[in-house]
Amino acid sequence: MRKLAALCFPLMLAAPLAADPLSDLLSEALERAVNEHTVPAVDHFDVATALLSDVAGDNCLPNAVKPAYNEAFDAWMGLQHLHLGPVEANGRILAIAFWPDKKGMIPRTLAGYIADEDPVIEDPEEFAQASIAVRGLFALEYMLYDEQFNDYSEDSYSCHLVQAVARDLHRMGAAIKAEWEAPDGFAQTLLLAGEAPHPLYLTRTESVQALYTMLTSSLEVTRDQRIGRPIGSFEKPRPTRAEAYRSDRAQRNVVLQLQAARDLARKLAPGEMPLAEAAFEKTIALAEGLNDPGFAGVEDPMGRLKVEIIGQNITTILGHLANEVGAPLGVSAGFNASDGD
Amino acid sequence: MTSRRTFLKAALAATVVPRLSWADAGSPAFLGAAKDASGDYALYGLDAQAQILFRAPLPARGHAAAAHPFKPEAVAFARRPGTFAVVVNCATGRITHRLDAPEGRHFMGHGLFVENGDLLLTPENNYAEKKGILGIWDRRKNYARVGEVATHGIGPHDVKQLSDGTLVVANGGIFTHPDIGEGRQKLNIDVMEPSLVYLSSDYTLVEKHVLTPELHKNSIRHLSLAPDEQVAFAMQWEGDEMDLVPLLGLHRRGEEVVLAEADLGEQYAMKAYAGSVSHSGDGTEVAISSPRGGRIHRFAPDGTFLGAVVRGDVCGLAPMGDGYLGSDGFGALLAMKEDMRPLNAVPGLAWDNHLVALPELAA
Repeated sequence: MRKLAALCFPLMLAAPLAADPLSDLLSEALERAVNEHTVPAVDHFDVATALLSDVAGDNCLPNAVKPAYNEAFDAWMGLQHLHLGPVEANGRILAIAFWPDKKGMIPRTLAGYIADEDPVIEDPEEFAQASIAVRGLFALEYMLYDEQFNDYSEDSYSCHLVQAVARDLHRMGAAIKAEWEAPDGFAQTLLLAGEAPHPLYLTRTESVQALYTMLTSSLEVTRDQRIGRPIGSFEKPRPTRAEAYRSDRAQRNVVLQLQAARDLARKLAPGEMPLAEAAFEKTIALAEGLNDPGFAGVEDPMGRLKVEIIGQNITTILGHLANEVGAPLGVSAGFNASDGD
Repeated sequence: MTSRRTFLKAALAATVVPRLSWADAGSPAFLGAAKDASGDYALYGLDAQAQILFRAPLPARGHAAAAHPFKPEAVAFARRPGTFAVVVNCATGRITHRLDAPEGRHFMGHGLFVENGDLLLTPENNYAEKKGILGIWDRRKNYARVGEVATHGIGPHDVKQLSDGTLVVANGGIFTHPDIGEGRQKLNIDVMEPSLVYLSSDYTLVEKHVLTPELHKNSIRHLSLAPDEQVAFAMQWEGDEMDLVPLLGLHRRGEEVVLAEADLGEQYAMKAYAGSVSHSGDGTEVAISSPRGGRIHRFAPDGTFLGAVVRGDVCGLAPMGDGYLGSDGFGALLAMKEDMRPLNAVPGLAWDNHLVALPELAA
């Protein structure tokens, strides 16, 4: 029965908006995606950044902070694809994860702050306004993993900078959670659409459309950026363009992103999605099997090919998602967004 | 020389043919092209509250339209690199003429009526000679092609006219060939040189601005003219979408170009792509849209960033009230300024890249 309803739904789209022909199918998909995917993702990031802030507060040295840092980055990989509402408000996405830093702003700005012992790190309110190049997970990655920065002692300026960045990450994680889960928060904006206290989507179809767009565009980013940047061209692979290669997280981030996308797809799918499931399983297995944590292996033609193939498999996933998730829900990638003039 | 016979024919026509005006098409305030749920394309006329007044079927996906200044006539262009355009009688919904680009030229999706509506100008690429031109069509001669002039740059995309007759042209800088990559593959990205060009009313070059070398991949695509004749141009970056580049330029004749950017986080969110540009209805600000970034950015006339309004797939922009009318690929038409207010939503209707505002006409 569920399948049949799926087939009928697109026809109903032609009805006038006044009747907002919201099927149970769409409503259920929306509720699953918001309550079982977005809310846990927001919670996880809040908790993981709280831990990071606490740990760094107790001991700021790299080896002490690294495990909590990786926990927080893992949690971010479960949330970063939701470029919506509180996550993208006030430039938060970039303040949490400034990548790619094509002009090398992070090391340059960090070095400047450290040389000047800029007092902005002392006040969380002021630090929240500091350059995004000294905030977030990638500034912290430099401080913890890069030899230019990670040889600092307790109570040094760098130590307090690390603590300030960790605290600021939790400030943002907590703000996202508060703004997402408040009674008039963004989860309600998605769930209630036109009837929400702060409407952004006119109908629940638009809410689902927004989530579906996040699903597909996040996979495109993984293919085109996380994979596309380091593989470069056959003649010129670019391992130092991999995401988070300093902390050896390039491979892990691809795996975690694919898992997050699969979870969102499962929550949105109105029925079974056998082809998408199979494609996710295959692609995640390929990514897990790489044994190339920082994507340094792309220097070698065989290593590069293995990474490139993951990108090709993501294209396959996208095709199946369009058929098994997008079409039955009556949503697709944006008409203008997907095709320039 | 006018013969007695043609004179009589013309006189007869003048008395018999009703003198249609935009009022006969319901006095639309805006025109926009869209694809409907069944996959058909049409040109729509909208009233000042964004309600649909008429629908005129189009043979293929549109891009933008050129509206005649007082006749209810619009020229709808196929999307780049189209080789045809159709003239739609908006009072009857019928296509009255078809314009075929001459051999070796293709349209860019935009056009402009000048000379009191007697002539239509169409930005085109002469791909044999790799140069941009404005095609000139004479409405009085059933839209006969009567000439063409150089735009002094490759890939002219949009054209507007100042009150003294001066033309301003956005040369996108991009060369395409209809035989390569379905005609949409960009063939000269590494050497492209977009420009903003002013031509006098007799089509001679009077001013040309190119961007600095590091911005040479920033294709100058679309134009908006403020009531005080400030020119705003929207750009599309042909490099990496993660590059941080300005997407809005502001210019007054004889002055330097001002490039405008939002703060870092918002600038990134545009994905280096501006789809449309429009001044606000009161002319006090200007906005660009990014369907890829799902937002519009508002700027003051001096280039100061005023804020973003988030809306997925938003692309079409036109002046309305003290703000803008925005359209998206999900059927919505929205009043936008600091925030947005839906005016119309037709599920299944996907508004195409641009909205065209019609001048308010004397009753």
